[in-house]
Amino acid sequence: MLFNSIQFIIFLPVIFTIYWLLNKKELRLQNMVLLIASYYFYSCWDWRFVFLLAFSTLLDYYSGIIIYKSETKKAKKIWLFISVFINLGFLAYFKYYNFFINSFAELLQNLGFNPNFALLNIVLPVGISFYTFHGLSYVIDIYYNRIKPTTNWINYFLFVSFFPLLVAGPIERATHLLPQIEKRRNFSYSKSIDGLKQILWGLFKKIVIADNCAQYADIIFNDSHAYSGSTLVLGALFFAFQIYGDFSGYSDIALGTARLFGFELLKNFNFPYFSRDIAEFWRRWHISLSSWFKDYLYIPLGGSQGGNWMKIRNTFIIFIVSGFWHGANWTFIVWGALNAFFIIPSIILKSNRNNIDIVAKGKLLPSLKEFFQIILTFSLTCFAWIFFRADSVHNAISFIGDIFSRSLFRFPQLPKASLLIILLIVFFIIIEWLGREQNYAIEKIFIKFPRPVRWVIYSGLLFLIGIYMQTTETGFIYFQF
Amino acid sequence: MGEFAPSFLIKNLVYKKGGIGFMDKRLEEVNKKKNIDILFIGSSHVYRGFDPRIFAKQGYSSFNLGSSAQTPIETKFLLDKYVTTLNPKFVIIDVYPSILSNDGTESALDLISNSKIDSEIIKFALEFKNIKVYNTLIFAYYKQLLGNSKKNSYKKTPKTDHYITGGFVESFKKYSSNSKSNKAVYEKLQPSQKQLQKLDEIINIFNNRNIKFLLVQSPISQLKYNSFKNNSSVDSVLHKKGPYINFNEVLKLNDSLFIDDHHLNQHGVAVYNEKFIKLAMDILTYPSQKVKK
Repeated sequence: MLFNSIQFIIFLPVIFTIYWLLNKKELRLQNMVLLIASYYFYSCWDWRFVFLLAFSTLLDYYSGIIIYKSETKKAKKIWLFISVFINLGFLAYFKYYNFFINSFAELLQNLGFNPNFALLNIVLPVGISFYTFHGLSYVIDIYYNRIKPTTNWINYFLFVSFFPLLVAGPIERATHLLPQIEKRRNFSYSKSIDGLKQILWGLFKKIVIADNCAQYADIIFNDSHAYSGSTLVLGALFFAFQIYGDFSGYSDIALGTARLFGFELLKNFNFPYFSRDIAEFWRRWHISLSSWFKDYLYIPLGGSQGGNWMKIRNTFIIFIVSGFWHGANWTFIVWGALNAFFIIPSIILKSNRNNIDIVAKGKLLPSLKEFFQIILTFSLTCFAWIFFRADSVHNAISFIGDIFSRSLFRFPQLPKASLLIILLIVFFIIIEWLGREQNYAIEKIFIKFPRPVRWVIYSGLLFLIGIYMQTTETGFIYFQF
Repeated sequence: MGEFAPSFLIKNLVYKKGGIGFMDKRLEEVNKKKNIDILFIGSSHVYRGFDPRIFAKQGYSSFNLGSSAQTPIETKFLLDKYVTTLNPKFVIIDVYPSILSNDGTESALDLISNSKIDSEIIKFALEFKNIKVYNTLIFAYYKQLLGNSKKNSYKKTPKTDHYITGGFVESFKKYSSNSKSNKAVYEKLQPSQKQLQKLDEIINIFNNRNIKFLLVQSPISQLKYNSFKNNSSVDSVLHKKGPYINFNEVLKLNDSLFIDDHHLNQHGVAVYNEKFIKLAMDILTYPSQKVKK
């Protein structure tokens, strides 16, 4: 069940109504309704993997209790290891089995052997990367005595499977979400409206920006040799907005949906394309994942302590692992390594925390220096996105090679209709810029207008969604339209 | 469009009153028609393929209710709306297999743009889970409320096309398969189950009302016809539905009788309709009679 689907439009108000009708009754009942709804939501993707989700959740639930009750450090470590090993084992099998087999086979072929390994037709369970990390953060936090385990299995199961964040994050922490689940929530009209607004903005980003950019990014990336360098640059730009619109749009919908039920989830994107350097970009992009890797991998490895070589090593490790988390392909690993390469100078020079506040805070426009910093950072990011999007490292390098040719200075060769997408992107950037100091772009930028005007603006966004969403009808024969 | 922005900027709003098939004129005319002998219905092969004037010379009153890219989904809607008043003795349905694999959205947009928006067309539009259809429906209703739904546009209609009373569109343009733009693209025809089901529902209407009907495949250019890999298997599916003639097997027409690779020009229509009257009217009058080649 996608967030932008008719099923979800029916599902959400039904659950919302039942949930708040139970508000005066037992909290346990309210949480149970959300839990059932979450498992139903997940089963709509693929009912077979409900059992895997349940098993993984049960494993971490009991592991947490056992780790807490174990008297010796050794016993705690053994149970932590079991939980981590099984969880990562499932992840490795479902997501990375074929990648490892293929890579190993290629290596053997390059050494002159002729291997014949069977690839498995493995279906990737939706959201496995996310809920695995939820569970891991829980058991690791218990091991380090940051939290006590919960003995309420409903609450824990809900923490892992809460439907707004189940399939695409944000990756929540038990320290942040579990206390909210354990506490009674009070209905707030203003929070519900705020949640709906964030959902609306998320849908705009996903349906209008991401899906329309995807159309042209796919055309260009799938046949890059047919296009001029300038068109390939446009393709990279389209992909940059596709991935941002898609991912941050989904996060906005998740956060807005959770707010409807009285929950505040972790902010996942904080206007990353307005960053002035790569370090700032990584503090603003997929925040829940970066902070997870920082807390559970980077810091245990030593973090920024120790000499420069340790800093470089640790930075490369987390970015490569982060790249690998995104997908089972060498392109993601190269993408991660590239970002590590971009960020390392600022870590070594200790300038990685120069830009903490949002750019041009309190001002309408950035300074000339800030503007160039933003453009440079965005350009580096887009360059790395080429590897993220390409099917193979070879295709990515070929794509880049085709950009830096004489045809880079030719006018891009795209249909008139792509002008529409560019106009939409410009509109989008303006709104995001004006709302950059808020939690999400349209949170407060229209607050000065009277309510009827605000509702006209929100209706206008809905209108744009209706006019520009992708459709799947068979091709028109007469093209009279 | 012009009212909000150029068409390419309004992706999911495809309102076009008039247009290539003159659907507005046809729908205006059909409301005044009653008790005809023959009703022709189906895609553009119908409104470009059956000339009511030729049938009138043989003593048959007829009306041509074809429309661009019309699929059985739209055919059923039109029959439900008009079959009682038209009260035809015979119905000829063109079943171009390529159209049967279409989901009907294009034709639905054409109908919505050119029809009066009432509960029937709203119910019809809701069958489509497509935002283009919903947006166009809302816009068409808005135009109707403002009273300027009568403004039509024939900007994209070729100047060689003329609307003829009775629902026919006449053209004398000639086509050549030798031109560089024409290439045979070999494809397999895959009629969709949904469209075939609608065809069954249409046939039930005829059976319930005792209306004689004939399914036909109008002739298309030989290059185009031969580019389909599975003509015979599609024929066998359509034969099971009821009386059916594939005129591509009966007539091998020269390219000069077409305006493009699948629509007849007026010369082609004359040849086709003459053969049709010889072959088909016997079947309709005496259904047990087999097809003569």
